[in-house]
Amino acid sequence: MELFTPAMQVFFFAALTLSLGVMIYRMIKGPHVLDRVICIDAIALIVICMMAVWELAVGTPYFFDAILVLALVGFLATVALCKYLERGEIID
Amino acid sequence: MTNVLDYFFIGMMFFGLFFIVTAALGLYRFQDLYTRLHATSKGITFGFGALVLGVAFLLGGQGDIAKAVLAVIFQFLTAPVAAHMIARVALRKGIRPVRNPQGDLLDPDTDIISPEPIRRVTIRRSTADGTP
Repeated sequence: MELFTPAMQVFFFAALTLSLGVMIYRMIKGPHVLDRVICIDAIALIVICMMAVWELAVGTPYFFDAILVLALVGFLATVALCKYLERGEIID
Repeated sequence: MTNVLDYFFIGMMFFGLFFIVTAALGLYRFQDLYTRLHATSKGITFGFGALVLGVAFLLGGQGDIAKAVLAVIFQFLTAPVAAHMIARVALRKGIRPVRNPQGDLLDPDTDIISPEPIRRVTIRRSTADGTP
């Protein structure tokens, strides 16, 4: 992709890495468990966005399957953690 | 062979990146679980949609666009559900929201955190034999 210049790639990866660092900070510091659950959901989406930018930088369209699967799995993790925190069991 | 639409898709990616960075800033800066949830569940979902759709339309295969649209539709359907579950668990566990973040300007003695606890939500579930 000739329109997506290397300077633009560096900018995108820097911004996404900054967001990821902020989320890891909140995950370590977060005063409650639910803050960490929010961070898990957000980190999954940031990883998906990094995969999309990497895909555009390399030029291969083969990462969309992984994007689809990760979007599903992140939601499942959030729901399972919330049900566990609410009732103490996941499958009722 | 750069099309005019490619510039539009690059702009769409920058738009999504702006929303993601703003949501991360909100996650860093807000001081309450509910406001942090508000920042991430809307901002990151919208930024993810714009960025992934921009990448898919730039790369251009039809199957890839379909997969990306499916992922974005799924995320837009499930992000409110996840946010609602997190907020419901937080409310049932009794986490207090910050009412007035900067204190009352007229009364300097007011506490920053609101002193009274929020009302606990009790939900009655009817069981099969009628016992609550």
